[in-house]
Amino acid sequence: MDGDIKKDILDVRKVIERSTSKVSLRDLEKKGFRKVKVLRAGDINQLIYKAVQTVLAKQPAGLGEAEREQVLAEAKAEYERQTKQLQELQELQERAEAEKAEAVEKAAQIEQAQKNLEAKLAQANATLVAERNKILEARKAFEEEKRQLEREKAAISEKGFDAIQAAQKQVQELQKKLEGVVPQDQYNQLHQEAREKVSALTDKVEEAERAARRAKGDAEEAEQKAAKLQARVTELEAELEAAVGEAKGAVDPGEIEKLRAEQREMLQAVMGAIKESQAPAAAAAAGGGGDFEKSFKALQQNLTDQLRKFAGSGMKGGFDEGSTTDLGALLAGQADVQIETNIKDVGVKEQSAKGVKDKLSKLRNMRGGGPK
Amino acid sequence: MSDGKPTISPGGTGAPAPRQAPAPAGNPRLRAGKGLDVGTANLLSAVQDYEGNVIIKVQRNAFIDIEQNDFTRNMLTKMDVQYVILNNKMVVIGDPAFDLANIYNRETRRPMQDGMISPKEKDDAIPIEKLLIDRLLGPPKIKNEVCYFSIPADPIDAQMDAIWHKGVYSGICTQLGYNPKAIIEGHCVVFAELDEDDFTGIGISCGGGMFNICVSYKTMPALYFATTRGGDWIDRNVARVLGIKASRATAIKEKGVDLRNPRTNEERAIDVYYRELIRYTLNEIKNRFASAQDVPQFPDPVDIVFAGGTSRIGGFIDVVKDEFAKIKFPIAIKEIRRAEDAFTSVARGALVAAAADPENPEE
Repeated sequence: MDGDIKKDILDVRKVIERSTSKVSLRDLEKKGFRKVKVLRAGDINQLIYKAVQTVLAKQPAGLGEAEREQVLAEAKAEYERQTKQLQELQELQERAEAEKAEAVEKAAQIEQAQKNLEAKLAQANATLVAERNKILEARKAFEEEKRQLEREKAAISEKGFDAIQAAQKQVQELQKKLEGVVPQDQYNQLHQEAREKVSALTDKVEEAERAARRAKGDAEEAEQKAAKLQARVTELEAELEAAVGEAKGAVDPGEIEKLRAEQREMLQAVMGAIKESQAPAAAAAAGGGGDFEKSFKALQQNLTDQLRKFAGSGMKGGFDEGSTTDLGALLAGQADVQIETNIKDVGVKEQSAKGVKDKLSKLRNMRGGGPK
Repeated sequence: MSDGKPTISPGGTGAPAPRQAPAPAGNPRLRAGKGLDVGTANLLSAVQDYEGNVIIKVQRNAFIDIEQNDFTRNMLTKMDVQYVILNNKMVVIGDPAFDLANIYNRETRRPMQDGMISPKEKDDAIPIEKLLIDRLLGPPKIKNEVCYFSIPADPIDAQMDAIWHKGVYSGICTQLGYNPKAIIEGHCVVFAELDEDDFTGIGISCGGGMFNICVSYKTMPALYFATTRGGDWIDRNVARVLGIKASRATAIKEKGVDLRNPRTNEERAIDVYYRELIRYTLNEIKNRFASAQDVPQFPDPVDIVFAGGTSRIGGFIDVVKDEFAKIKFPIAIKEIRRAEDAFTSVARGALVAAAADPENPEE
């Protein structure tokens, strides 16, 4: 047998001391151990003794060296097994106590929560009771007001009924009086006639207003036309003067005749335009048109005098207002200018389009003519 | 030709002798009677041949001054660009004027403004218009061939009338040897697009200067008027808000915009002003109908047909229908639609009127 082992077996306390460590109670608490199981040295000795006895009891008497060693080993194993068993039991116990502590704490929390809920419930109940009381009071006040209004309504109805009765009496009295003056049928007829007259007068007033507006529009139109024509006359006058100046050295009766004809045509067109615009506008427009006529005749006379001056005697004055001409054609005569252009050398964009035969045919049929 | 300085003839006692063109070999034989759409933005003529085909000629109604020299003269002719020398200026006319304006970032000059002959361009406008119309109509086929030219109705939102305008174009056509007759622009749309409804309904010509409206019953115009906002109004406003030239705005618009899906800032601006124009027009029409006593009472619902260059933009009818749904229109409407060939409607309508005119002599 090993001397150390032998020595260890004999001194259990030292063995325990060597194989354990000291831990302070504070450290244990920090680790969460509030309670620990304490195993005394005597208990350990007892355990070892039990273990050895258990093993020896199994063995027959007269052990040899090898057998003794075996016994020792088995004792040791048995000791360790029992120690382990003890530790496990201790751990189980500690766990159970920890769980118990936890359960106690939870129970305390639940109890606290229940107390809180009860307090809140009491508060809510108190609030509901207060609201209910308020509603009951409001209803009471509403009922009271309703009764008051009904009383007032009854009073007003009574008064209204009295007033209606009084008004009816008055109407009957008035009717009696009127019956003495004008019969009802005659009254109705007079009323209808009066209404028709008023309506007719209103229509006449509206018609007169429309006519006045039309007359005003026509007068403005006539003024505008006259202004345009006067401007054109001024231009032609200037041109004529220039032409007269140039042709002074060589008077051509043919030229003069052309100028006169142009002037004649222009005057006719102006007079026609003035007459056309003056017709519906009566006095107001005619006044303005009359002034314009006078000034235009003065201009015309001036032009004639100029022609006479440069052409000498033989020219008869006056314009023939009998001929008519198209103002546009006259004025577009200025388009007959001599200008350089390449336009005839350049093509024009052409495209085809949808035919119009059907439309033409329909139009002719609707107008009563046959197809061409 | 003169040395470039314009001279003014003292005028004659009557119109010049009518011009007649011999039938050119290889060209289709044309029937008598022509239609002329006198528009602020474009001039169009329409004539039909004996096969029933309609031939349209188009000239942009614009011009621009450029530097004058011999080199430019030759180059322009070689490039098929029309020019005139007027008042000592070289003036490019028609479509090339528009292209040049965009290249040089300038504005074109317009013989017409707001639907009528322009008072600002009175010195140059009439000779240029005569040249353009001469190219479009060509010589008359027969003596005093009937030519119907479109005129705008009197606008309800401005103090204007078409008397001077009518006189100028009547004179030009007479000078060219035609027997001119004026027809209200909206009425042309009725003739071109409402034949299947017995020429009953509302025709609206959406032009550059004006929108012209005509309410017609069985070929007769019952009510017609115009409003003074058109395609040019859109171009001016888009140009103003974007800081570009109006010609540039026109080019963007004509390149292809869809009002239902504008993609760029320029297209969005065009969309905004188009919607406002349509809203304004419909409200003016509604107010005019509400205030007039002469609005016809149709027994059945009628169509509204839009035509004209300004209506050709993508999504136009959808926007019209949207705006129409917001107002209470005093006439029962069956359908709102756009002419299939909106650009040539007015010219074709004028052609129909010319061909059906009793004064159109038999050949």
